[in-house]
Amino acid sequence: MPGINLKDGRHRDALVRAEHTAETATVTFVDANGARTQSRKVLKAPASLSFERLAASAGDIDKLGLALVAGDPDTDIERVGMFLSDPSRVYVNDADEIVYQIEQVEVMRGASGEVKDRRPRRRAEPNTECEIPLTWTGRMIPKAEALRKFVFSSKLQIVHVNGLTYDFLFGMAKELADANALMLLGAGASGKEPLILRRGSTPHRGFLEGRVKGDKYLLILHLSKMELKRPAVPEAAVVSAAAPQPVAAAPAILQPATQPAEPRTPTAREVLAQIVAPPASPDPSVGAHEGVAATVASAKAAKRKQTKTTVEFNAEPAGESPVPAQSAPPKPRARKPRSAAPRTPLASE
Amino acid sequence: MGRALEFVFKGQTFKGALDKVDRAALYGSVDVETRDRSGRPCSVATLASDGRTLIASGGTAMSTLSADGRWLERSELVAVDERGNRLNSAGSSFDSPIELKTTTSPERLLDHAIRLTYAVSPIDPVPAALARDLESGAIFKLDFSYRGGVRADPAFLMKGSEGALWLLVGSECVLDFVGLAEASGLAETAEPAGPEADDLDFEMM
Repeated sequence: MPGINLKDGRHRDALVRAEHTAETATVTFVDANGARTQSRKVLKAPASLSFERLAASAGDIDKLGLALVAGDPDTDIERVGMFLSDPSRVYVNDADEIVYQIEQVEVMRGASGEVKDRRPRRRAEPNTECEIPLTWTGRMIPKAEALRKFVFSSKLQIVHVNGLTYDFLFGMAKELADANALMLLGAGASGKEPLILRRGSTPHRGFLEGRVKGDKYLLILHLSKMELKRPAVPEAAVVSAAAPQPVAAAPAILQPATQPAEPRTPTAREVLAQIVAPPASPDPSVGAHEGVAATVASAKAAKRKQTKTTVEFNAEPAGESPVPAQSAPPKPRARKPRSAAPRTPLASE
Repeated sequence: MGRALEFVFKGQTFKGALDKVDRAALYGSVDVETRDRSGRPCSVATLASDGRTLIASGGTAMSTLSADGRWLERSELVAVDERGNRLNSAGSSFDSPIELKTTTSPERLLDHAIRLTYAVSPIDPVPAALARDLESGAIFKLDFSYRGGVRADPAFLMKGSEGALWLLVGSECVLDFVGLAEASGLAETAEPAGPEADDLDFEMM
């Protein structure tokens, strides 16, 4: 049960408790007589009997096949099927030797799987039970809107630890219940960083919800690590989107996905307008192809602008951001040139 | 495009294909590569408690035993709920149409931890009445099981903020209103009151 340091809208903070809310298993298995059963982990095959090891010891695959026909080299009747209790996790190299000193590298991939960066592994430190409390960002999102924008994959229930924190949390829950909205919480010194509950765990955005029933309250910390949206359309599709689109006759939701989108034939007036009218780019030397590229660039710029106004889900917590690549040095500030005119002497001179 | 579910709303049916959307598809992912000091790739293995049996990934299995230690086949097992009532297995949601008849509130959806997120791409036109309801913010609750099994998971069909149709699959969380007397830490630290509580023991000092 982790502790959590929380600050309310009036900048008062307290260390309270966060309880897990996951449902415990309600389905159990019994035998045919209705008696309870037990689960045990067993050994199927040790690493020494893996296909690679057997093939290597036999010489090649054909010889391994002959050995399997002749005997049971893939079975160790002394060990296979034994119960495993309190096993340890270890790192092994390709020769199945236990490795005691390792180096780990994070390979960062983009949404389409391409490698974007490699860096030494970093484990972000938890920031929910430290000196700096989680703060209300002041950003309220109505419940009905929040659940259509974010995927809340887990929750913690915030509870008091004494009478003073009961008043503190009850007031917080009542304020949020009256607003019928979720409050975005931020961590760190800036008060905007995502929440990290355990060392090295995935950062989550935290949204606080409050409900009140009589003198009882329910304060839920909804945790989200992704938005409710479809993956970005590849760039080629963005270019095709710049082409004339058929006029929607019904809401997009009514359109079946398999319905072919037939481009409308431009009218003679539109064709003439395309020939006569200046290109989309302000630079008259830019051709039609560059015009499409400019459309794509402006769409990307608009998307970047829109992203800035939304909650960042792929942002790294402060202090954990990778070292930026060689960036252009900052431009020196232009100094005002000195006047060539002779300086006027001060009265004291 | 993924497998298609068939929905029924007030007698009208439509099919929608499911496409799983996860964090990796939206923002990318991070893989961790482990190497030894000489740069050779390493993998995680299990070392048995005897200290010498090394088990590669996939080398273990879970078994089920009776109370007296007898091996039980999976077909011999019977699923029961917390009261011991036998549970009927749920079929796959793809096997038969799903009727959309129950709507729920945003609070009820917020009571669930969402485990799987599917974008629903309509194959047939969505019935106009259903489209109107979804447009106005209706959230339909249904039971969903991808492959079938002991129990179906609660799921929600609704429209997202960008206009797409979504099926969210999750599990209900255990949430309770708490009052002053129900503080989790207070009951644990309270001393039991008894007749000897008033006795002042000076001998133990």
